[in-house]
Amino acid sequence: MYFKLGSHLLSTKTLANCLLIILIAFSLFVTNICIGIINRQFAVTDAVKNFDLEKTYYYCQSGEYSDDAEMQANEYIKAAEDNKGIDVSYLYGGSLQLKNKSWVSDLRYISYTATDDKTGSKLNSGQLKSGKWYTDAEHTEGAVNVVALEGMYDVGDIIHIELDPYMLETQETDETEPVYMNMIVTGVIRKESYIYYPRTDGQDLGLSEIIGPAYKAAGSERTAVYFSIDDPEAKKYADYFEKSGVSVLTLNDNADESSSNVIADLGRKGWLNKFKDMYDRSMEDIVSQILTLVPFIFGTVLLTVVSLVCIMLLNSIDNMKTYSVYYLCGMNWSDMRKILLAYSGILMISSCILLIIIWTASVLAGIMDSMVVYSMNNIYITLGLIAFIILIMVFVPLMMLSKSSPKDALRDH
Amino acid sequence: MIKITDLNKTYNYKKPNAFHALHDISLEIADGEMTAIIGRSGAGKSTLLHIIGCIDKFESGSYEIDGKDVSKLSDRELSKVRNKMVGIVMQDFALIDSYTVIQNVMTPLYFAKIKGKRAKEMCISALKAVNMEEYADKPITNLSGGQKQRIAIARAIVNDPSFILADEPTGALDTKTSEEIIQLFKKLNEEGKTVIIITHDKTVADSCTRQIEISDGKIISDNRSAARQK
Ligand SMILES: Nc1ncnc2c1ncn2[C@@H]1O[C@H](COP(=O)(O)OP(=O)(O)OP(=O)(O)O)[C@@H](O)[C@H]1O
Ligand SMILES: [Mg+2]
Repeated sequence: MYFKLGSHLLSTKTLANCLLIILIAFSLFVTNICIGIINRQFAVTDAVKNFDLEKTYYYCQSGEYSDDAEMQANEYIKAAEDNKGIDVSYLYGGSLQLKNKSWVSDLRYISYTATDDKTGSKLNSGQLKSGKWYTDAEHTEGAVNVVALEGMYDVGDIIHIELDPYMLETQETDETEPVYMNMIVTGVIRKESYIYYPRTDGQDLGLSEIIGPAYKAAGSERTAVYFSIDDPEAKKYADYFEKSGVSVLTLNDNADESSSNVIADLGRKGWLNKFKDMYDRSMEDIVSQILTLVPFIFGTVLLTVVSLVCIMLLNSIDNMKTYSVYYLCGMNWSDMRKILLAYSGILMISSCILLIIIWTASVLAGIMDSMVVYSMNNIYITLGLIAFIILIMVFVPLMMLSKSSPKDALRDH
Repeated sequence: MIKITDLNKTYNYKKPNAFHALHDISLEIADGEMTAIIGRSGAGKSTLLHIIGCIDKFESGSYEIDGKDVSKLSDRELSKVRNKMVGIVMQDFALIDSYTVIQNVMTPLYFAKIKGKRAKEMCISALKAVNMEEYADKPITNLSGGQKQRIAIARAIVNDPSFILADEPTGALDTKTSEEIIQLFKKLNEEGKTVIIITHDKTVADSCTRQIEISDGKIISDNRSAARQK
C-alpha cells in the first residue's frame, strides 16, 4: 500500500521526478569520481604501508661519476652489504627478449622488474586481478614465478625468454649458444597496481617517482612481468638480469651507529631518499591536490542539496492537496512517513540504476581506469549521501504539511 | 452520537494573531439525525465541522464521538476515526485529479488496509449508491461539478461510516444538481447515517430535520423542525 501510494506520488509530477532522478544520479556520480580521484592519490601512500618508513632508504647509485668514483660507490654499497645492520635489496629492471614462437602479437620484448622476496613482498599485493602473488604460488620446476600485467597474459601462461648473453660480464666476442628461460604466470595484476620504477637518479623524490602504476612501468613494451630474484629458477639466471643501480636499504634490528654512518656515506656518494621523506613529500602533494578538489565537491553537494530542497518544496506544494486528501481519508503521520519513504525509495533506486548505467558506460569507455580507484569509501559515502537525500525527501514534505495543517491545504484549493 | 461540551477553538493559539473562532460550544447530535449548520461567512461553521471530523484540534472543552473522548486519542486512533467513523465531503470536492474515479473512492480503503477484490466491491457499491458506477475507470478531470461531488460522497461512504459531514456540498453547484445531491444525502440519512451539512442555501437547510445557527463562534439557535420537506 505505501509502495502503491508512493508510486502514485511519482506519477503525478513526472517531469519534476525525472529531474530529481537525474540530479541525484549526477551528484552521486560526481561525488564518486571525486572520491575515486582522492582514493587514487592515496594509492601511492597505501602501497608503502608495509614498509618501516623511518628505516628504509631508496638509493640510486650515481651514474655521473667517473669510473673511478663509480668504483668507490660500489665499495660503499659493498660496505652496506657487509654491515649486519643493513639489508640491501637490489632492484633489477629492463627488458627481456621473447623467444620467437611465444611472441604475443607483435611483441618482441617485455619489461621486467625484480627484487628480492623481502622487499618485493612488502609492496601492496592486494592489487591482483586473478591468480596468486609470485611468492604465494607453488614453485614450478624449470620456470620462474611471475605476475604479469593484465591484458596480455593469463594465469598459467608460460612465457619463453631468450636471454641476452651480452649481459654477462664474462662474455666472449664470438657467438655463444642462446640461453633460454621460462616464466610461468601465477597471477595477473591490475594496470593500476603499484610496482617499483627503477629510476636511476634524483634527489627529493616523491613516492610516486619510485613506485607507480604498472602500466606506466611497462612503457613502450606494453606489457611487463614482476618476479623475485630469490626465486630458485631466477637465481640461476641472476647474471643475465640488469642491475639498475638502485637498491632499497633497510636498517634491521642489528643496526647500530656504524650502520647509520654507512647510510650517511651513501648519501654523499649517490642519491639517497628516506622513505619517510618521500612519504611526506607525497602527502603534501596529495593534500594540495585534494584541496583543489574540495571546492568542486562542496559545490556539487551544495548545488544538489539546494536544488533538491527546491524541487521537493515545489513538489510538496503540488502534492499538498494529495497529502491532505490522504489525511482526510484516514492517513496518520506514520503512514505519511512511510509513503514518503516509499516514494523516495523508488526515486533513489531509479537514480542508482541510472548511476550504474552512467558508471558502466564510463568504465566501458575507458574514462575511469586511469582516473579513479574504488574503495570502501565510495560505498560508505554513497550510502551516506543516499540516506541524507532520503532524509531531505521525507523531511521537507512532512515539515510543510505540519506547518500548514491538512485542512488549510484543502481550503486553499 | 456526537457530544460536544464547552468547546473552545482558537486559531494561532497563544500567538499575537490568535483568533477565537468557537466560544463554549455545547452540542449533542443523536444518531440518525440530519442536521444543517447555518450562519454567516466567518461564523465558525467549517471550524466546527473540522473538529467534528477530527481534522482539527481544540484547546478546551470535550468532544465525544460514540463515547470516545477525542482529545485523548492518539494520532493513530484519530486517523481511524477519520477513516472508519466519519466521511467528510468538501465544497470543492477534495478529489485527487491525477487519479481515476475508482482510485479516488478507494483512498480510504488503502488506509483501512482493505485490499484486492473486497476493496473493489466496496468501491463499486459506493459508486452505485451515487449512480456513478459506469464512470469507475474514468479520469476525475473530465467530470462535471455535480459528478465530482457524487464521487466525493462515494468516497465518504465507501468505508461505511456512521457520520457523514459535508461542508457546503452544494456551494459550487447549480440548483438542479444541488437538489440531486441533497436527495442523495437524504437517502443516506434514511439508510441510517447521521448527516451534518453546512450550508448557506435555505432550501438545503430546510430539508434537514434540525438547524443549528452559528454566529461569531456561538450557537445562537437550534431548531428541530418537523417540517421535513419531501
Ligand atoms: N487557519 C486559520 N487561521 C486563522 N484564522 C482562521 C483560520 N481558519 C479560519 N479562521 C478564521 O476563523 C473564523 C471562522 O472560520 P470558518 O472557516 O469556520 O468560517 P465559516 O463559518 O466556515 O465561513 P464560510 O461560510 O465563509 O466558510 C473566520 O473568521 C476565519 O477568518
Ligand atoms: Mg466554511
